[in-house]
Amino acid sequence: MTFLAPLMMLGAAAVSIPIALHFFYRARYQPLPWAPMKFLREAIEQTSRRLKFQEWILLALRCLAILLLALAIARPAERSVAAAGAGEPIDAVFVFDTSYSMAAADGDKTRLERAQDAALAILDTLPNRSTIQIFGCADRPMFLGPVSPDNRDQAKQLIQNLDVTSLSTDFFPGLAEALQAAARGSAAAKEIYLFSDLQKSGWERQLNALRGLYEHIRQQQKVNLIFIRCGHPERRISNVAVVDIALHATIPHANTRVPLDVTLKNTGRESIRGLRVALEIDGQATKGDAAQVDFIDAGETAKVTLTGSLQEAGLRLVSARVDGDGIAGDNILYRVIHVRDKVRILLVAHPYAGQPYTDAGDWLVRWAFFPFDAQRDKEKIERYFIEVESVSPKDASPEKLAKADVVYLLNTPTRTTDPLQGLSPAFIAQLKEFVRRGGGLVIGCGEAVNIDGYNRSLGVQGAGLLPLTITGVRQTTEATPFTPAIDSVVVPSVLAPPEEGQRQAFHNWLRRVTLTKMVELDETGPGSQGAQVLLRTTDGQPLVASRVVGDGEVIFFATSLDETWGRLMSEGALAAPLNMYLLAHLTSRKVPGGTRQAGDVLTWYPPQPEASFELILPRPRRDKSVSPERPRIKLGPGKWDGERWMVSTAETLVAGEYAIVPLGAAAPTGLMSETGVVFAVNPDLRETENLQLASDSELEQLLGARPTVIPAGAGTESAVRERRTQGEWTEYVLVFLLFLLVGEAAWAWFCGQAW
Amino acid sequence: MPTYLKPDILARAEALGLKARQIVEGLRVGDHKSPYKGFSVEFVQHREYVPGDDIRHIDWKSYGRSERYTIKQYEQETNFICHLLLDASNSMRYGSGATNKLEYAKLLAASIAYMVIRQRDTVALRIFNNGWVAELPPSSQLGHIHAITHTLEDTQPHDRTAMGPLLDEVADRISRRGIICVISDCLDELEPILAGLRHLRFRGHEVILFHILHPDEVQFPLDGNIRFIGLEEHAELLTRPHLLRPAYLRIVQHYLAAIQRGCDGSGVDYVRLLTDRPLAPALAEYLVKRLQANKR
Repeated sequence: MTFLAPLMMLGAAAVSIPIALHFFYRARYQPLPWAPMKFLREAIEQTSRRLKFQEWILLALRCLAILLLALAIARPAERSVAAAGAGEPIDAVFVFDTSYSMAAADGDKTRLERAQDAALAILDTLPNRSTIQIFGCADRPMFLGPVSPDNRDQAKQLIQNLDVTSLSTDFFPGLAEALQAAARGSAAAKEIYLFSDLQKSGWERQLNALRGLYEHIRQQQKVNLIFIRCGHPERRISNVAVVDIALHATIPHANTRVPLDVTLKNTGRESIRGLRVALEIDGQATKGDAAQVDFIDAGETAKVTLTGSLQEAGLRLVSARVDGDGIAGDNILYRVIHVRDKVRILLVAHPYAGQPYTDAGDWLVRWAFFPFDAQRDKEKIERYFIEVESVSPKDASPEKLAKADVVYLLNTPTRTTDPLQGLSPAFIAQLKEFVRRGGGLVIGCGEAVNIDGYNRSLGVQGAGLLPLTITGVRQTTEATPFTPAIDSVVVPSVLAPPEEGQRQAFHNWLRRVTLTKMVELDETGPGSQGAQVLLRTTDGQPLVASRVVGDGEVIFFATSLDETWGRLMSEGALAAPLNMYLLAHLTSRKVPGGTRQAGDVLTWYPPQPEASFELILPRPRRDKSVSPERPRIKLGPGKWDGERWMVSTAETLVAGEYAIVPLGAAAPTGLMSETGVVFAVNPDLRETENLQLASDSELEQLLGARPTVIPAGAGTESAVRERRTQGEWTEYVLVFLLFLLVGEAAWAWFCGQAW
Repeated sequence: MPTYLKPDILARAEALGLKARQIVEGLRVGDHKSPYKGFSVEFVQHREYVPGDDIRHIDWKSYGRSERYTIKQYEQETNFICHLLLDASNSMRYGSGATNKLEYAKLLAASIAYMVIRQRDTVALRIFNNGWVAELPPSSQLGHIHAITHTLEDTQPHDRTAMGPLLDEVADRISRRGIICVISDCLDELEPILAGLRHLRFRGHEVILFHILHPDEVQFPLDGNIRFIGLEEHAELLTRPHLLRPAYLRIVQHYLAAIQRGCDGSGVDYVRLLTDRPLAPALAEYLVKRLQANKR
């Protein structure tokens, strides 16, 4: 037990009053000479025991009354946290859930507006000399201010200007930070308020850590954690999220209309009708690129195919927007598409040497890219968006890689003692850099592949491009060929097109492939980390493997991509889609900036160091100005990561278009930026996957103890005040004192009666 | 006129007269009848001789007629000596003004003395506390009343009461039977007092105990916080008397009943006088009762 006003316990000294009165009145006895003292003595003897008993009881009651009065004034309390009620200052920490579910309309206000109203009301209840620290918290804590913790006006302004982010909810980091912030204050009482809709998923993200933290807070007697519920657990919020924008396994190029699959998901608890889905490219709605979705049942997804018109080459920001639900934060999804005027492919292979042309390493691959007749449609081939260049290994120079988007090494040896044969070390070194910067590399095997040279030059000890170390060659007969095991295809992967029909057809053709020879790969050796086997043969050996290197990726085929070791490329129905999938997959990686999720770190490797860089943020939702200027954050000069300059930032709190540019550089128009890099940041869709709010009993179950939950609304202020005095025993003491005084009066009356 | 001779009291007392219940022997003839039959000229009755009777009193004429020994008894009017025994101990100090016990007692003593002398009887005064404070010899002279009143006037309360032994002493010292008026609050050990009274009665005296009490001592109407200071002992008691009243009244009633019983048992006239009651009607009441009792 503690006292909210311990000094008031000095009032207990007043217990001396009845004692003093006792002696005072003793001195005030009126003297009376008396004759029959004997009778008096006898009377006293007969009654003295009773009288003494009565008087002692009376004195004890009066002393107890004084003590109780002092006790009541001292305001005894179960926990010292209620000291606030006594006017003692409080170190208050306000933690606002800024996940975008807080923007959901809950009655006539949004949850965030309820939180703001409640916070302002609670702010007014804080005693003088209290401090206030405000944090925003979705999945990470953000200190918002005020700079001076006792500046309430600033705190009010901060609260009024709060806005939601595009992050999902995770309560642990915010509460942990709030606890530390509260500990930094000097007041005896600490109060941490979490203003949130108390979404269930926010507790489950780091449940064990949160439980431990909550237990820790509960054990700290001076810290009071109060949840202000800003959403009604039973209120049903309708929500449809745009969860994906997918290209139809094609390579977007200029002057075409690209079909885009927009996937919607109803994450609410009731079906939704009449949704409008619209496609925008670079923020501009394209005429006709909109569709109506009649009905989505609760928990179900719907796919809408919209076509976007891609007129110009470059990076295009494609967004799909839906409206008509209760939460706007996930109603838009961005995707950066690199629209190309040409896709350049460099095939490194042995040149045609008079053998059947189909044996040439590059023949089948080359023509797999062109849906034209090689002789008759030469003009079409020249205008086609795919441009293929073949080069022999010995002629493959680093300069050849400058314009290439994807490189195929087809049955290409590395250089040995013969300086006129194989890939030069300089080419391999540049190839490594090419892949790291986002280029795609496809390697096909063959008789010319020298295993030792490959492992040494391209393997883990060399350029690190080989997904797995080659351990040998194995072969079989035509009668018992190696065949791909379709069941082993990794989904999703480049070998598993997202569209079901395409995937079925592709896998049917793939199933027919027969191989007689392939290299063996070591899946457990030191070079296997980071590799992924995408396809195996029916006897379980790796047939296709991949490795991500930097921003690029290497796809390795354990057999040849001509007809010397098998018939993988023999059927155009298989070779054409396979190579297009490879091309679409590998070129999609080479997108500067790219698509990220809110909260992700944006990293840019500038071509040259600058004095300082800036992050250009999306325009704030509340900003209604017509000025093209967007807010900027200074990032500093960047840092050297050992190989190159790097600028990174995690200030990606809201979805939208971001750019990193040198200090003072103009904001990029669209996504094409010559002086910087542009990112599209999407909302964290985990936020609306489960919109269920945790009820009080569920919170108790989750946290292991019943927390203090106060609904935001008209009664918040009084509830908080009441909470502060909840542990106080004053009322009970006063009631007891009242009964005691009544008892004392009754006893005094009783004692005044002669027996 | 002395303070204790108030005309109204004396007038009423004189009008009613003082009729002694018993006839005492006296030196002069008065309107009191002697208790000693046989010495007077006025024949009263015969009674049968019993061994021990003086044979000189046998009525031989009657023997001649009846052959039985009879004694001839005579009645003779005599005057009597009234012994006033006044308690002047400290306990008599209680009360103020007219209700002061000693003053009341002095007034009573003076009134009785005056009435007795006016009847040409003899009165003696003895004032005591734990010993004899003052003594006036018996006298029937009218001037004796002045000596009595002066003595009473000079008397101040002192010391404790020790009445029992003094009564015994009086019984031993007074040979002639008379009327013994004991005026006291009797706040002493009860048994010695009763023993003394019995002793006086044994000596043949008519004994009247005038029990002078202050109403406070009987009714105990006190309230508030009071420090009782003993008048005859060095003791103090702090108490709230209203809390003690029931017990006190029980004790007092028990004590008064014991005195009454003791007096009745030994033939002592017990007259309780509360000082808040005017003396005249109280005394008159007693005398009326006494006269009526004598006629019966």
